[in-house]
Amino acid sequence: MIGSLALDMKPISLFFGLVFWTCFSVTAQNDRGVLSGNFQANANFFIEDTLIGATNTPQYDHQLYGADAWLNLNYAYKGFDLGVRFDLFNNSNLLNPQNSYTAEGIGRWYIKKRINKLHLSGGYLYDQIGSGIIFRAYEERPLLIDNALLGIRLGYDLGENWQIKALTGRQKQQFNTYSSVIKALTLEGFVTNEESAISLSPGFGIVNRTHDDETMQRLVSSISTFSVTDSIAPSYNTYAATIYNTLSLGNISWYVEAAWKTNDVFFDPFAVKTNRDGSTSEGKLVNETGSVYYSALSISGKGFGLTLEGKRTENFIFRANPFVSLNRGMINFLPPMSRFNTYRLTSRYTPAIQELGEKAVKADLKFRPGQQMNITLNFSNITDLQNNLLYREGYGEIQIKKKRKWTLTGGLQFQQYNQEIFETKPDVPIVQTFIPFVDYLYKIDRKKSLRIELQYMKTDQDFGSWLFGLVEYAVAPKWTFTLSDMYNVDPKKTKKIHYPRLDLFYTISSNKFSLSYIKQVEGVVCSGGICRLEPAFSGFRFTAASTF
Amino acid sequence: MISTKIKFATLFVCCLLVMACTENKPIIPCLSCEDNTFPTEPNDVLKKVLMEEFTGVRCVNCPQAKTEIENLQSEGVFGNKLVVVSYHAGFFSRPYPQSNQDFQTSQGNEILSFLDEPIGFPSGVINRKKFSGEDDLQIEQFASWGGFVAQELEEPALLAINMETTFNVDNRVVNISVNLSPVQDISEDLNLSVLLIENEVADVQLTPDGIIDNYVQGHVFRTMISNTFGDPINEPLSAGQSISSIFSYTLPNEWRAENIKVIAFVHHRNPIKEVFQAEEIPLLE
Repeated sequence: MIGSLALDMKPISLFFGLVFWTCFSVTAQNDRGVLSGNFQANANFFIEDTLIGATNTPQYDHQLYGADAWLNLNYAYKGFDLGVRFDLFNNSNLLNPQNSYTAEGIGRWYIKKRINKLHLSGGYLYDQIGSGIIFRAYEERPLLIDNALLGIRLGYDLGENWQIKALTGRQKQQFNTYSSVIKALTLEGFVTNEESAISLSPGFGIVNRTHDDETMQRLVSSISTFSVTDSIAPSYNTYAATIYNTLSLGNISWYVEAAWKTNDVFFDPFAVKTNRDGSTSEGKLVNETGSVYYSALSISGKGFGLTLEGKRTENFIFRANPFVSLNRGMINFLPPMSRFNTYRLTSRYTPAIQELGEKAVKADLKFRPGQQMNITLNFSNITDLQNNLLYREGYGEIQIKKKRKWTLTGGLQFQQYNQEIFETKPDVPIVQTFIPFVDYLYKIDRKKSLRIELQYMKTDQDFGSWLFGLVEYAVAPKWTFTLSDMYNVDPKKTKKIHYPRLDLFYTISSNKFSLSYIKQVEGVVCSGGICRLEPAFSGFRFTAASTF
Repeated sequence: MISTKIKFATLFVCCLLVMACTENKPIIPCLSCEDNTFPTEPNDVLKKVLMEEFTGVRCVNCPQAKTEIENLQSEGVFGNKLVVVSYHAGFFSRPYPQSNQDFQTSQGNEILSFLDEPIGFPSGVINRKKFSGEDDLQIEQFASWGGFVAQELEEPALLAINMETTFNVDNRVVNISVNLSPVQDISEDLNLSVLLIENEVADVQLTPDGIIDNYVQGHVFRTMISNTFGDPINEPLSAGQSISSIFSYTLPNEWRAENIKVIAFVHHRNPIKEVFQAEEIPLLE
């Protein structure tokens, strides 16, 4: 796919002039202000491998190469903060893993200024209200999520502990914007009483999204094709409001948030549609209100920390455009209720957040029986609103350290993963996994270390059982070598295939580089009625990251 | 004690909420009503829209998309103003071991690459147009296809396509005559694509209820009779003057002639790609 050059040449020349001047300047605080920045780049070299399914995309067919890069510059001078970011995508598969995306230009710019109690910002803004349930503008590069708000933000300090803030703008869509207008208003504060140890951090927020005329006309045209039974009345405006508070008392912190949304048109893949011939099928646009209730309680003490979370979600799809899905056009962010796993096999089955409806509880306990031992226990349980199981996880981990010598981590994970719902695979059984793992880090001397990782996933569903092994040799402070293999030891779908990986990392000052040879297994993920193939990867990958 | 500023700010917010709650909602038109027709100016040439759907026998949500296409092509909605071809291409189109046919074609896969790989299946391309708010040509949300089709039907038809076919039952040779009649002078660089689809093809399909052995496929793309990306129209397209092209093709024995339809569409050349006009007729009248 041929993309677009999103900027004419004069600003690009000025921009690169600024870049080169930056590279040869010393960053220091002086009368000319402070210039800083960071850089990140990924380059993939694709090698076709039909055995693992790494084929049939433009990159494997004929492009053979894809790259993404972000160069960020920030300048602070006399109370002004300015920033600009150059984004580049060459034959990139980040936007669509099945396709190729090529475009380059200014991905972000901003200006900020504080005038006494007034905070002014303009440009591409990142922000959130509460935990993000009604509004979150953020960036997640591996998924190419960048829903910054192109607009202005005004904040005003109402005394020492309170601030009111307003934003208005349009959501970023790569190098363009969605046409809908988004406005938000928040009031946040901090209340404390000197006589008691309790402090409160209450907040209130409201967001409004107004569809543009073209989007509304398209909605109306779509609805006009429905049967009378399914006809709905769309609104230009949808409002989402939230109230939240953090109560702190000594070692206890309790966060509560409740959010509601007015009628909004979205696609419900499970809604029953009456067809023109009188038959019924699933999947149609609906017009419903929504709600989310979320709470997190944290208790910490000497040698232990306990976190309990609960969430209930109903009809909380909130998009800049009603015709986009998956990661596109998200105005908000619903907190995930499963543990963030980092090991290869323990993270293989991760539940997707169900915006239409889910109930979830999570408990996380960490304690330290002794100076050299840490224990982590975690439990997550997610169901739909009809109490059908979506995901359940039990996790336990023990870490033992011998000071400056070795660290041994071992644990078990148990999962139940509803593949029928998360991946829209009808009639498949719930995937049940049992994963023991061990991670041993040995410090050979002051600079050298060796780490060995072993994991085994026992399951009779989906691809079957897996074995994973990793060896990592590090020579501080610069070099790290990693060799790993993921092996389908008891396959249910394919042959016994190895998925090896070799990594070389080099770190110097604030610069990090890596070069990897990768074979990665494919996966199919379905959400909101759309099934997306995450293809297998075969080839080399080079990454670079720098902060200056 | 809440300060005066906080009280004022809270009151201000409440006023905003009260003031902002009312709007004039749009009216949903009745498509099947007699007085609601799409414009056919100039010269009463019927505008038709081409939808190219990408589907597959392993795509669990694709049967729902087919149902939606049937809704959109029903008399109460767009009827024959919507011309549909369904390409079985990509990952989800690999046949099952028990499948009778392999609906994949090399031409279908080439067209999939040409029109951008979708992020998921099913997906549809409408008049090969990149609509505002979309990332590329592919529209994955099938519930929204009607809105995009209606938007395109608002555009006037600048060209009429008329076709005639003959079919020799003995040697199964199909001859297709395609006649293009511009209603105004057209200076764009355009191509003409002609293809065959087959309806009522029963075979294995994955559905939300599981794998069905005799699922009836529709609009199955069989072959491009022109070049895959169309034949250049080199003659000038002048108002009132028609140009004709003749195509011939021998139908394989496996295809049932009575279920075959011929689709012709005129479109911009790469990189614009947009479809100018489309037409569809059954092979056997």
